[in-house]
Amino acid sequence: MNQNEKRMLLTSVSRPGRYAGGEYGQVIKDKTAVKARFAFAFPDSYEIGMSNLGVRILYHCLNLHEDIWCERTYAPWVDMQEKMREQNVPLTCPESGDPVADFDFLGFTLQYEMCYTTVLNMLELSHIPLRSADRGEDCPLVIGGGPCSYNPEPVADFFDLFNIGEGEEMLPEIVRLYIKMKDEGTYTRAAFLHEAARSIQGVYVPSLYTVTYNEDGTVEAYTPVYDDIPRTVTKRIVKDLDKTPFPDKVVMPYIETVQDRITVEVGRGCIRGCRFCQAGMVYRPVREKSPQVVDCQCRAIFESSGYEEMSLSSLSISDYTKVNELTDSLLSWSNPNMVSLSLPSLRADSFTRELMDKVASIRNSTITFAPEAGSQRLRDVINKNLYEEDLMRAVNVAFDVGKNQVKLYFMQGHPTETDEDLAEIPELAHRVVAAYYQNPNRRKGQHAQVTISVSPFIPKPFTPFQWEPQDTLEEMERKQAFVGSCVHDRRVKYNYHNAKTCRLEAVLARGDRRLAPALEEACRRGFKFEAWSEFFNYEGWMQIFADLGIDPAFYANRRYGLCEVLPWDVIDCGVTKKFLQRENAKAHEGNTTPNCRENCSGCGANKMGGERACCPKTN
Amino acid sequence: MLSQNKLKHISKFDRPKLDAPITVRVVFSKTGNLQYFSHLDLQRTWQRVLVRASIPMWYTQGFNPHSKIVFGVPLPVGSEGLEEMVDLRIDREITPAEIKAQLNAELTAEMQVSEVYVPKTSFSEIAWGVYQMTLKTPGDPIDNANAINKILAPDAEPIIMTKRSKSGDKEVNILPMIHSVKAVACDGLIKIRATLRAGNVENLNPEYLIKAMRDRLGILPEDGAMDEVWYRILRIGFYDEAGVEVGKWFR
Repeated sequence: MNQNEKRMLLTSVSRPGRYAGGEYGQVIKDKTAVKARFAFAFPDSYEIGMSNLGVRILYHCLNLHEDIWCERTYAPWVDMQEKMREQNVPLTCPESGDPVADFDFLGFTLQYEMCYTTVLNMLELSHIPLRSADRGEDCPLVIGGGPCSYNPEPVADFFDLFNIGEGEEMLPEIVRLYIKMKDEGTYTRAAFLHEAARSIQGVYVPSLYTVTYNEDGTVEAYTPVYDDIPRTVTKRIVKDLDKTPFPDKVVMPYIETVQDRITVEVGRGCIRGCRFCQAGMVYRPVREKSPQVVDCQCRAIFESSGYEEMSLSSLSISDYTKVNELTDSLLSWSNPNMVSLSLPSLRADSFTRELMDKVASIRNSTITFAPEAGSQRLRDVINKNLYEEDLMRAVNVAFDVGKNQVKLYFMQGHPTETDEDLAEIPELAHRVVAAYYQNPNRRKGQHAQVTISVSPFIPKPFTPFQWEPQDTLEEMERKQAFVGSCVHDRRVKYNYHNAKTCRLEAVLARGDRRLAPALEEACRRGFKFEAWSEFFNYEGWMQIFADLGIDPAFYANRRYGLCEVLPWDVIDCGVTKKFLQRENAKAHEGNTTPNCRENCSGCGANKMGGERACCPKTN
Repeated sequence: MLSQNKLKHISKFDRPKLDAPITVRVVFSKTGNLQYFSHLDLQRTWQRVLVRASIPMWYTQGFNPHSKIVFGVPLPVGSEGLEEMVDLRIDREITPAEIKAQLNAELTAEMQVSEVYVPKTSFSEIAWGVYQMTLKTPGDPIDNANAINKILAPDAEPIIMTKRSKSGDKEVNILPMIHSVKAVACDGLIKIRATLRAGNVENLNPEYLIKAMRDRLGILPEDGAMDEVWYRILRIGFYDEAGVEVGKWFR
């Protein structure tokens, strides 16, 4: 497409800046001089994709290699898709303007289950066959990675290869192997996939594993088709976060994106072990970056970007051991440069006045905490390890400095939950309102506003709750109404998530390969952008399941057997099944597990090693 | 990589303070892919460019300090510009040449600073914008160019169009907002030079001319194939009310 054609196409759609490219910081290379071209796809809109830290990191890691050129691509919005089909224009990458189908690799990051249909939609727009089995030698190798790849089975048939775990080292290794085999003349698609599965830790090639099923529909076994590939694929981690490549500059979007700021991780993993939380399990072992390294990385991005906002990224920022040292050194240069600092994911029990005074969020009047359950009994079941006193102390710190709005996140449908537990959610909010009026330092003349946001529980692979059934749709909706009926104060605002979306998410999260035809059919029926409520079509999904004879309740509402072979048992994410079973049993007994720093709970992730980890060393 | 020749800028904090903040004007291009970004996007972008180029911006005093930057006439999405302008308020010693070099090191080839100077004029004096348009459309280019000149001449039949504004849609005759239009055929294409009302009192988006040609002459059919039917718009400069008569550019 030349510039004139591009102009006619882009000026006919909304927000053309999404497709223009030309951003400051994008990497341009000579395509005739590189040996492998990688299209990094984010299966959602440009505004969401450009905000993703993982994409920023991996774009940088691949482009560090002179002979590899990594470009980006995003899902075109629906109006653009229409124009592309009309004019027969395929999906391209903005850096070179070349069609994705001409690349050597097409990598998708799978951040949430509801993006699966958009992945297929993007393959279709690229004119690449959906199923890996139908792809010829000249097709790009389609790679998946990201959080959802811990159970890749529902989308296994559409990917040639998955990255399980952290990609900074693994992804370049995969591309280097490709270049090497091409150079040696030993490359064929099949030979490459076999060699990658054999020699690179963390590579999962679904076509090299056959699945058999029992009569009751559960998985019988995974069998590798070659003897020299691992029976289970162990995830990859980067051992030393200080030494891992991290971008010193970012591609600067011209249009407004969701998160347009300096973002630097302080570490990976979480010491807490909440039993519903997948991130808290699969990112183990807990490893930290040195504060000096985080400070340097923030500073470098500031100087190359000019961003006026900076955010530290972590599953629980206040658990970072050097949080005070780090924030002090950041503020020493960010204040004179008018850069504001924000700290997401604050835990109520480690929320202090000192920390609060440092962060810019003090300017907004809202502060957010996530008790996740209303009653202490249920908080013990989910291992939240948070007491009401902690929350009350934290909200009072906020009230002391003049805040009057508090947001509280909860989940409904945790195992063992009763209506009494649920009724405690609004009750807790009422007590926070009361605490506001009892606080002598509150801002006079302002009313309290407490927002409770309640989302349905979704059982996720590799969590202690992976075996637990989700509530039926009717039960989820009944509970939503019940919580609403318990709110008796107009200073308490009640929000809840769409239960239908959460149900489909549960199906896809715990699904197996037999869901592939349903996803294929959904793509054929035009489903895409399903994380956007205006495009999510629950009834359409139920129709597809009915048409194909798939029972969604088998995946969402069934209690999986503690000893059954799970679809994701082909993956080893570091924590052992034994540990998850132990945690599940403790949940049902109502017993908590101390956090990793207090006492090692023997989850097994320490076998992976890692610098500045809080695990005991193994031999 | 586009930013490879990045200069090591002198930190703005190492520059001596001025007695009072001064205004400098920066003239820059906005071409190629940058034509698809809105004026709002441009403003946000410049805030960041100025920070990473370490330009010693003056900040407003008070609760929420911010730097002061004022743009000339917004460029519509889908138009390119060669002489776009922004006025900056700076409060430390820095030469125009340094500003230009530091900014260009932080910009891509599609947006480059051509000139930096201390202005004697204000953007409110801008009265006319000059546009170059290039059109490819079916039909004989010479006939089409003649027809364009005819319908857009000052004494032609009024062209009533619906103009969108904050106070609602309005029916207006666009001819009084056209100073001059000259279309010629060139290598199978049509090239037009148009001087149109610009500024914050009255402004005519060049797309209205395209629409007039489409409506009146049936050229540039909207269902045409993208390689057969296309057009581009480039803004090359501005005049004030007196300058337009003698051909003296606004500076």
